[in-house]
Amino acid sequence: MINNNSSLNQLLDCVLSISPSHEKFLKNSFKSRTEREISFSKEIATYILKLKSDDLFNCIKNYLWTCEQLTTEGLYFKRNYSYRFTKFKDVAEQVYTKPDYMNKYLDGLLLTQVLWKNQFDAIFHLKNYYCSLFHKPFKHLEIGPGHGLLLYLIAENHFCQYAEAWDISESSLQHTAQCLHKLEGKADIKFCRINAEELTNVESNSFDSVVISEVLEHVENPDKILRELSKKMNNNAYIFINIPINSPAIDHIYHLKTVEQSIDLVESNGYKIINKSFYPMTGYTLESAIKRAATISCVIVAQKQE
Amino acid sequence: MNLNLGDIMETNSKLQELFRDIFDDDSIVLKPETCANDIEDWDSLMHINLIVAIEKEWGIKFALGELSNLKNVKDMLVLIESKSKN
Repeated sequence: MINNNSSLNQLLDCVLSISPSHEKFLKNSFKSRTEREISFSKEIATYILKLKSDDLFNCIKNYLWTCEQLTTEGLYFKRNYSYRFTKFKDVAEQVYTKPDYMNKYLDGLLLTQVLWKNQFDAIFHLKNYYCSLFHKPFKHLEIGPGHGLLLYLIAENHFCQYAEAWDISESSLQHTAQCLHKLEGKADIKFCRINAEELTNVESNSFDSVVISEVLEHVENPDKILRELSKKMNNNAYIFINIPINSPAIDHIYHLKTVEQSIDLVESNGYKIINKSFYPMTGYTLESAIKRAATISCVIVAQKQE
Repeated sequence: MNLNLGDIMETNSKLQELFRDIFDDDSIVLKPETCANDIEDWDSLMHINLIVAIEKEWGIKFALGELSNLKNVKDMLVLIESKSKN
């Protein structure tokens, strides 16, 4: 599929050796990537191999397991046109308090970053557009850094002088810290256990850059988070928001149905949008994804309004 | 299970219409061996779309474990016939 001995080729070969039926999906995902995108895909695959060098086989098994879980949720979603849960406490009981489930799920999400077109498009946008917005030293915050790839890419930016990572879960923060250690990032990053839904009383630095990627669909009140986050940002600070619409997963509780709703969510909470991109799931055009209520990653870059 | 040829043909005809609607392609002609490799847009999401459309059309419900066994049109016809008669 990719004609050389790159990390990407190694990763794809390994996925196909375990699940040959994934070939059609992967061909769809890679067929329209440009030379630059393939080059960045190889970079992401290199990071993934670095993170999972000791256990790539199990990581891929976990990715395939994650795909099965998402198919189950997809069926529920198509039958009901809603996510299974709407309350955080229900998801916590089903998912967040189960380390085995979480570990497999995190492996799955890591691989989607390069294997799924919309996931790849979002991280490519962060690297090529968002990172280029900064021309002087800046302080950065990421909410819910997960596997840490986005945080790594920004923290390695020449102008990033300081970075913090906030998450509700201590174990998630440890996971991110371990990932960044394996990636041998140069930046010094502060990890803070903070519940994004309770930011009102948090004393913190003021940031020039905030990334909140694939977090808002996991919370009950994303409006409140966005409003509170803007108070932690300097004037004209940038925020990178990635929220998927029609994206069934067991831990997604806030269901946006249209790209317009994603725009409204950002604009109605104190931000001026400077760039918006909508990336349909693998195998779909934006038009066909809208028609079929398929997943679209809504990537919005905005500035805090003065 | 004994399958009536007339019933199967009628089900196949309805299923073909449903495929054409889901995939937005009036040229689709279903054969028992037709599978995901034969229809370019037949991916995992479209498979779910098909399943839910079949459930609505025939008033049946598939169990999760049955979905992965539906490899081609013949498998679908057999399961639809079997579930509609129960």
